[in-house]
Amino acid sequence: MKRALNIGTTVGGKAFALPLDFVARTLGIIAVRGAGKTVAATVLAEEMCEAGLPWIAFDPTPGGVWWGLRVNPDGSAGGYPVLVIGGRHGDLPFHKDKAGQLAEAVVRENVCCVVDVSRESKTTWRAFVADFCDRLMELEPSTPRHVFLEEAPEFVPQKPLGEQKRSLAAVDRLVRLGRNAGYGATLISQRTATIQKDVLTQCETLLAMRSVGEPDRRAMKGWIAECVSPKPDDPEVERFLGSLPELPDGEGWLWSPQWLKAFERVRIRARKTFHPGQTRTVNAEGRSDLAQVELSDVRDFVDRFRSVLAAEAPARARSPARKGNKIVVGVPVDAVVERGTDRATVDEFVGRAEAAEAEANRLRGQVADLHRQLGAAKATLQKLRATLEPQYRAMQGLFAELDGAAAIGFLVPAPVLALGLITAWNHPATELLYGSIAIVVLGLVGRYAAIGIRALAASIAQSSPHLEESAAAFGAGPARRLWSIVLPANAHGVAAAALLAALFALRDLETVMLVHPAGVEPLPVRIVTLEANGPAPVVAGLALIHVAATGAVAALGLAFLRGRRTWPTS
Amino acid sequence: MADVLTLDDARLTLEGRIALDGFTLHVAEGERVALLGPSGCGKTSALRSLLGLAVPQRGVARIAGETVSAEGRSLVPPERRGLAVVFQDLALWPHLTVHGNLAFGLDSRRVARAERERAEQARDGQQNDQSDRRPPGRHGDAGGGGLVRSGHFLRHSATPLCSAVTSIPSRRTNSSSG
Repeated sequence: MKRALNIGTTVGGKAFALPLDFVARTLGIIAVRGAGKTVAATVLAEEMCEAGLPWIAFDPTPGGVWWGLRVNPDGSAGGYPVLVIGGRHGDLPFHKDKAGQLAEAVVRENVCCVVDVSRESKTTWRAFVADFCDRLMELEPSTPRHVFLEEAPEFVPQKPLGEQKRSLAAVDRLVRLGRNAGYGATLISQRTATIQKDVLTQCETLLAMRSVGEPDRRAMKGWIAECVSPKPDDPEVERFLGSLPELPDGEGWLWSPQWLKAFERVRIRARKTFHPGQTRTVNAEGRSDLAQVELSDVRDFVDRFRSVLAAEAPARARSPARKGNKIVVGVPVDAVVERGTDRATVDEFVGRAEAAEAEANRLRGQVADLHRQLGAAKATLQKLRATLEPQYRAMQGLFAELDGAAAIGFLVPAPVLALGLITAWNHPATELLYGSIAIVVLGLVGRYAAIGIRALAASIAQSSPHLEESAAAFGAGPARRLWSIVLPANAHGVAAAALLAALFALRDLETVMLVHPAGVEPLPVRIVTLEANGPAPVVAGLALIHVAATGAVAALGLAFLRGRRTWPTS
Repeated sequence: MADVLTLDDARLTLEGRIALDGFTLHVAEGERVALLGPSGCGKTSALRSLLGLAVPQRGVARIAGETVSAEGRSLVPPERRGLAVVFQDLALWPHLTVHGNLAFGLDSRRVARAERERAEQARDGQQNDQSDRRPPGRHGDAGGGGLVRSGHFLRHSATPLCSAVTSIPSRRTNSSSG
């Protein structure tokens, strides 16, 4: 039994191998066309076949390349027992709606499998790979499996459009979370710049072969910055980037900063199987025979896979038909009819099952859409929160400033305050307030609120901040803390502040005189107006009432404060 | 075992003074942790950072895996962190009775009736006739031991953090301190 995947040698000639647990790891292979990226991937596949590690490869390259793993280099029968689905050399036809079943079959059977989608449209590739990855992540394999994705930017593009968003989400999930479920992945791409940066940086290992474009090298730098975090002028990075355009075919830098902690220039060994790409240039005639290659090694797989792919449908779509006549979607109708079931009944149930499957697919799509929308909404909220936080802090500063500004009401001369009140409130729309005693109350609040607030703040400042903080820790929001803790716990301060403000308001003359409405004459104003022309006894009596009222409020307040020996119960 | 409380590489400055710098703390589920150190070394600052009463300018705080503050930003307010605290000065609310102090946390967290009854029974068993009294002080009349037990009873509703081990002598209380 193999103990490692021998993929080649270092440039110094020393054997280079990857551990077997590569099967559940992630790798990115980047190289320009013809530099050997597919050879590198298929060499890994060969090694995994020999080690008994199952994998599945999606091959959209024109004409297909991966099917050659089942053929000897000279075109004769041999190679590895790999099942090929789709394409010219497929053992089974490709069905674009069977991605979920394929995932189930792949997990059920320990088989290496190539899905040749070279004859399908790009839309079909993406939808199929997305469905496959989604279903795969719902299943738990008994042994780890590896997924090779050729032309990765088609599935995980840097700028996804339309259905690419779905394949991006599915492959991204496989790459990010697959290891926990027992799946590894290799992304193969000609360009670093066109592959989704966030997905590429999830690859634990990078095999960078010849690459000439400056944007690609910049993107490579991004991977290094994200995954390796060396110093910007690290000579190793410069050596790496500078050598990329000059690398010969089959050579590349294997960089695994976390998993293998390796940075090695390696020479990938030659394939042990047939490489269709080479054949086209060397021996074009040989190709027609290769399609007729003997498939005895994989016949068992083919038979089992055919039955799995034909008979198995997703459980969600299958259930309606099961309830009725134990008919499973996918079994040929004729076979069921032969067993004695009425054809119309079969057709009805098949129709219902297909409708249910279509409905389930539609719902799955909606759920996926909702997930994406929720994710987007969450991201937006987080961004909004991050954006608004500085404003919130600025507002806190503003409130502090306003607290200071409240003192202005007390400090400015009464005529100025009165002028402001008249200007602000003497309008038809606010006549109800301006024409009543409420304007006097407003004026007094504006003038003396600062005194009460300052007194209360001084009182609260003397109590332990832990009172409010422990309430916050115990789950009380700001309003409950204010109402249930801060104010009751500082009831003396609240009462004292209110008393102080009330006394100032009671002894006020200037504000009341300037803003009192026509037809309403507060006591201080009455005293002053009568003082000039009114009878002295009346003036003296009113003054006495004023003093008594003020004194009564003061006495009551002080009595309240002195007599308050117990707190209210909760 | 998974960490329930995490503070990673926290830096906290208070009025220009560095209270924490590069402080890291991991507390696993069921674990009891005591922070020991001289006065002013940052023990309470670490707890305040976890509670959300202070936000470290650098570092990440996590509770049960959820990031509650990161790099100077508070992501979850204190009242939604599901923690409880017994401050060094106990900070029991003087205007509430012992029972009121107990009920406040349960009210705030909307604890179910069954859970409340359990707390009530425990109160009946341990607080005896002091539940309607108030914490000691200018207006209080409950004994010190009852007061401390009240503080520790608040643990019923959350993960407790004690900012200092109390020195009020009570064999019963100290034996139940976490």
